[in-house]
Amino acid sequence: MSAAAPSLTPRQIERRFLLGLGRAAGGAVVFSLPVLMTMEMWSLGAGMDRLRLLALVAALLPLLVALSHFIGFEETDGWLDDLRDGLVAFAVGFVVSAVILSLFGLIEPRMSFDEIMGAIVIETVPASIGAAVAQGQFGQPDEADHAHDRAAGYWGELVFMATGALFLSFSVAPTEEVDLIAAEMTPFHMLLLALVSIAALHLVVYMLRFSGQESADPEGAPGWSVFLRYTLAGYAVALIVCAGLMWAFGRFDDLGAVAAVRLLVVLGFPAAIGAAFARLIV
Amino acid sequence: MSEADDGPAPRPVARLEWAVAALGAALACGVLGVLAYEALTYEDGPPELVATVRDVRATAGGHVARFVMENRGPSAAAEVTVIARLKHGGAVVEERRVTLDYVARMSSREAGVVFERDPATAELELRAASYRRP
Repeated sequence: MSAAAPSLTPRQIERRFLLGLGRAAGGAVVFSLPVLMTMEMWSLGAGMDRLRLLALVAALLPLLVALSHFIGFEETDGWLDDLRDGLVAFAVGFVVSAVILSLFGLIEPRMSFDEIMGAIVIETVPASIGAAVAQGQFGQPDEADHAHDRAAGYWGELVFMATGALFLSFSVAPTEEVDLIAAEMTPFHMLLLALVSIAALHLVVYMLRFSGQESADPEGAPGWSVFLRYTLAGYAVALIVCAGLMWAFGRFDDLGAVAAVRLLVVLGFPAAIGAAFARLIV
Repeated sequence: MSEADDGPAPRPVARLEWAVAALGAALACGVLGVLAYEALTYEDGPPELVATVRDVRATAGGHVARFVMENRGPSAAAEVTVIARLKHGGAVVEERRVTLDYVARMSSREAGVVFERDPATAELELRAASYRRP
């Protein structure tokens, strides 16, 4: 049991948590609305291969814990605190998804358990990430300064980039439009899009370094090193996230290797943009 | 900063926070458990599409027969075409077609067909004719 700080009464502690819970719910709604209002997502939850849905949830939980760790506002946070924060985010995401889906009339008692649970679980992915980000994003006034000073470190950067990539590509991954865009593009377009994705990512990484926020990096590290360790690693993380999503959603089934790579590059664009801006936002 | 010597004090944790975390743990375990169970017991097979008439009502626009298309099989079906026929003495007197966008496995969808004749005076036949893998 942790001892309460002398300045806070138990009542204040509960109140502070309730406020945090409200923030988390708000974050969950903001992050999940684009996904909640996409038709492909509802049917996906019901029809998705159970093993892949299981893999998605199994990957989500460590990501939530890692997010809580790297955006947590206290340096003293032990693994138990991170685990607790991650589970709170999962609970908030799950409940928010269930409430909004019922509000839309998309889950009803006459539907099968499979269908209801599948829909909620799919929506829980962006919702709980939103909850985790909101939980850590706006710290209490006295802790806010501290929060922003804390360097997340290299692994933290990668977790943020993965989160951003997941957020922006999640709502796009199950749509037909990815196929259509990939079909419209010539190999030359593809190459250009991949290069633009990398350039956009590098631009943001570079801007952050300039504004002095890249505290994890020693001053005066050569440009190529930053390019390799942040930009290219970030693009790789974005592509891995995309590949995971595409596999989970069954988009790679019945596809040849070249067609799969084409889809990956198309989806990699929003993922790279998401990865870049995650670092600006979180 | 003030507590630099004896180590920083842990953040006080609300009891409610533990409760919500416990809820999260229960939900996560429940979801993982159910999904693992379903993944382990899953057997591949075609969708099993069974149509049942719910009711028939005479409206100003004709006789509306509402039916439920149930998928009892292990896989989902998209673009399910349903053929509804009114038969009178072996001969088809009216035929209607409906396409259902999506019927998830172990789930059902409701739809309707409109006949000119009262289906009560004839034999109503309803069945799924085709589907596409989603």
